[in-house]
Amino acid sequence: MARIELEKDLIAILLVVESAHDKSRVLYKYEEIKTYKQLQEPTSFYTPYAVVIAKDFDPPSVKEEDASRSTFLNFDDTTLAILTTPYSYGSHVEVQVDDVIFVGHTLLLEGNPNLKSFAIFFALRAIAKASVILSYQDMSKRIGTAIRCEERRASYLNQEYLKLISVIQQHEAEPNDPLNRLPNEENTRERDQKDNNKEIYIIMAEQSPLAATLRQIYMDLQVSGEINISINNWLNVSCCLPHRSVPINCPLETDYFFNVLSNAVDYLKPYYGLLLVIDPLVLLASLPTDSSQTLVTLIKTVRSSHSFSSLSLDTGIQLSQIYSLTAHLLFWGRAKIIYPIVEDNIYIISPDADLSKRGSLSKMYHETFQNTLNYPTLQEALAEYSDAIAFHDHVPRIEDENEKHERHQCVEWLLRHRLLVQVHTYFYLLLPNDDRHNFKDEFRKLRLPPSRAPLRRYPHSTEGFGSLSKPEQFHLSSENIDIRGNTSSINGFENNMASSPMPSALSYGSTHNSKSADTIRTSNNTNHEDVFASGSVSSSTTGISNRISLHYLPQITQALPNERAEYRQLLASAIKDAKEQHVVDFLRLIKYLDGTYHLEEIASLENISRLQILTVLENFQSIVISALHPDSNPILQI
Amino acid sequence: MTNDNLPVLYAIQYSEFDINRGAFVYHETARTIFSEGQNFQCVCNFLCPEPNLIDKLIVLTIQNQKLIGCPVIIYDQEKYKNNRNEFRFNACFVIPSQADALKYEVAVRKLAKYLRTLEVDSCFLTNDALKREHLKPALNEIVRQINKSGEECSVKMYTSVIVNLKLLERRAEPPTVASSDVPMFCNNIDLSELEQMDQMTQRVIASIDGLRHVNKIAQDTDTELDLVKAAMQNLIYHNVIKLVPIFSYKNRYIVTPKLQELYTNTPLQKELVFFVGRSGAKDCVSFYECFRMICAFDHGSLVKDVVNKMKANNIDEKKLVQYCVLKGYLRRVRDYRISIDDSTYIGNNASGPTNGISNGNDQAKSKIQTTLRDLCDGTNDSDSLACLGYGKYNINDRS
Repeated sequence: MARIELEKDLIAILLVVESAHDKSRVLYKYEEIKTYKQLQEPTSFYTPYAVVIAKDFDPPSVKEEDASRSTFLNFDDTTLAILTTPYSYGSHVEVQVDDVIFVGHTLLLEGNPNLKSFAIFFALRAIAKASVILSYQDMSKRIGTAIRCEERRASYLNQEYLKLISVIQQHEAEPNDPLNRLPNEENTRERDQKDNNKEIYIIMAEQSPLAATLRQIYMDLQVSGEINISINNWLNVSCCLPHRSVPINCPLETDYFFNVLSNAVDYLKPYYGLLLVIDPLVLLASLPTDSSQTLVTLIKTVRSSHSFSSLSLDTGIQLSQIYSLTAHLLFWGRAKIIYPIVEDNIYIISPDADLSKRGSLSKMYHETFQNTLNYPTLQEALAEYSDAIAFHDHVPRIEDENEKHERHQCVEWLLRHRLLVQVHTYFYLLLPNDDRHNFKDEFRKLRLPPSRAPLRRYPHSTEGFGSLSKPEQFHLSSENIDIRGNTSSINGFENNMASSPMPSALSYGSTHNSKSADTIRTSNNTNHEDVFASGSVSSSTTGISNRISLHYLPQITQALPNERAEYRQLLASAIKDAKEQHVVDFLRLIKYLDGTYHLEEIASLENISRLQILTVLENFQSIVISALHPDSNPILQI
Repeated sequence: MTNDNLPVLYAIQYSEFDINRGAFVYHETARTIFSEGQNFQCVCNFLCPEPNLIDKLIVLTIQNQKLIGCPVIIYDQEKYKNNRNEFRFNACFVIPSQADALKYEVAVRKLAKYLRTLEVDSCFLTNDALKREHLKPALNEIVRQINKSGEECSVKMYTSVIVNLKLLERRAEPPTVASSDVPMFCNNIDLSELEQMDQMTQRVIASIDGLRHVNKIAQDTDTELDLVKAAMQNLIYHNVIKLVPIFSYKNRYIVTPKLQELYTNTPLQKELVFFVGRSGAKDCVSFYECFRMICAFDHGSLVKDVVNKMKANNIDEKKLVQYCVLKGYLRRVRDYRISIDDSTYIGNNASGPTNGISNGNDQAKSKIQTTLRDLCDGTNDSDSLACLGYGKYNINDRS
């Protein structure tokens, strides 16, 4: 993408073999020393989100990042050979020494006269994330398997081994006459040795195609995190590091999104859509010749306004196959999952969007949309989304097809660069008087210990509450109600009466007596609170008896078989005034009202329109609370 | 990453190098993958290795176990003349492979250092009687204590030598503190520990109320701003406070998907309703009202609009908003004013939805506007502008 960053974790690539009669040895290694040259700028750590850096904490210095590189440089080949000795074949090898970690996959060679086993090793910084280490291991396995295939087909590795070994032997023979050197020249000798070693690896890369391939792999990984090479000009190997294919401004933890990417199919939903991050023509051109024809069809037909299910209908490809192809595209960082762009969508600016006028995104935007009149700069384009309003409300004026298309492209671009986030409406069913949310008892126990000041006004407060006289108890509870605010006080005296036996820490005895005594009275009480809360319902309901208010109970029991009976009763009394048809529709939707389904999702699952859902839920405003927030599915953030 | 069901430490494996036997395991507190004959043959290179791996932390992963060691070689021509003039040993920790090896590094290195000193001073490791009598039970005890406490041990090894080891959790670097950030306690703190804190922290900690920003705290306590920031970073590192944005009735907020957690989790609901009541209230607020109010933050509404709309008098909106931001139920929608005017003359009324610069054309303001316009390049939000002293020129909103 825009900001190219070199792979920091990778230090070197090694080819290690274990020969049949010798110990294991490092045949070839490639480490880039050029990048190591100190690019010491005066370290000014400027980030757009911080104003000043506190003095006490030193910024992580450049030196620290290269510490593991220098650790690696200090290892000689013998040490490396020991470290990479295979101790089990066909399984992952992971060895860490200080701040360098070696990962590889040792493969056994059967029936080879010279070689017992071999492995490609990557030397990484030890602070690399677990998932990063895992993906390098996987890469080592893939490359290793390809080399083994070539070895079986054309004894490729054996030839390369002989080539490399001859270079080493030749090299060892030349300067190794230590008799000429004086002992005090030890240091210079070592340095010479190192320079020689560098040379020998350069010669190797010239003489052996395998060494050249490995060098290529290292360079490709550094630059793009993707490799696309052919071993022995015959076998194609292409793989990528997922943490590199996902742009840097992805807010998820590396390990977490690696997990999500690996199981992407589980996170996909039929109503999501696919947005290609790069130009489809470029993508098609970059596919290998033996790529799946279905993938080509998919790439050709995909539109940002289509969901997976409609794609499946259009192309005739099965949904499960679309999912796995999508997961593949995601893994390679070629696509992004979005909710299809339709006019009802609500977009907001992503909280971590880079708005700066001098940022690289600003320039890119300028280059891409040079000819638009509507939004000449990125900042103006984004300003459109400052208020969370539906997409079709953005431009009140009538626009022609051309402008519409332009706007669509602009949104695609912004989504592609993660500058926009879509928000959805979620619904939460919440009853005002559900006692699972009633913490008043506990609060009072906590905040009002028995010996608190207001109680001392009554001389017999400490022991006399069990046999409390009626007026006193009333006094206390009414005081409480006043504090609870206008909610209940508006309801008037009658309601106060009803709520007076509410369990309170101050009146143990009466609580226990009254609690079990009347469910009727409590539900009566709730009726009154409902009238207030719903507001729209007329107050003519006073006096309706309990039995009538619960006449939707059977339907509710059917819809919520696992709920507690008290909860069902409360719900029944809450919806008692609604029309029959509304209640039927409402109970059909009730399972989606826990905040995990958004409006569009419910619409697609139940196959009804958004408007219908909104109309139904409008009648139950007092118990269904709507909230606007982004979809929490992590796959949308990748 | 770490799984609670797994033990912190499987075993400690103590091995040494003998010229006749080669590397061998002298004692291990429990059998592990690494004690298997074949595996050990493969790993003994690491355990008692070449001189160039001396004193390096070596971590080896096989299947689901990890071995961490720090090999030691002591050279002494007199003492070890029958053993090639050197003595090699390694005390390795065997841990679950999911665990973070860096956490154990200090403990492994420290144990190696203890053993080395004991050997140099009193031949602890070469005298068979001592080793049998003290080393074995001490290693067993270390494993037992670390597994019990989960992080530390204090074991008497020999005479007056007590081995104190602690596993250090690697924590993230604390973020940089901006002048406009508001510190807020994320747990109840124990004030009895206050005296042990450093002077700076003692001075500022009383000013943390979830509403005052760092700049204000520095002013109120008459302390240098950078020192306050450093103290805050320190507190963040120790997970005492977190940073939230400044509260204002003109702020906008939006609900996050984390709200779902609040909806389903009763202890969290309880914490919320206990917290957001007005101070001095005798009763807690109802969760229903709180939840409604939280959901009313829809990106567009200002706090004052929400307060007016909800009319929930017993909810302290300041507490509610700051608490929800702290817990992540709400996210502050920040205001970035970006000047789209790139011309050199700045007096004109550059209009545009993002351009919130006051349209006053006074000559007196023009100097300020020059700098203000430079600041309005998309990198400074209204809070940081306000902290730079531009607050009053900037408050008029699109309304």
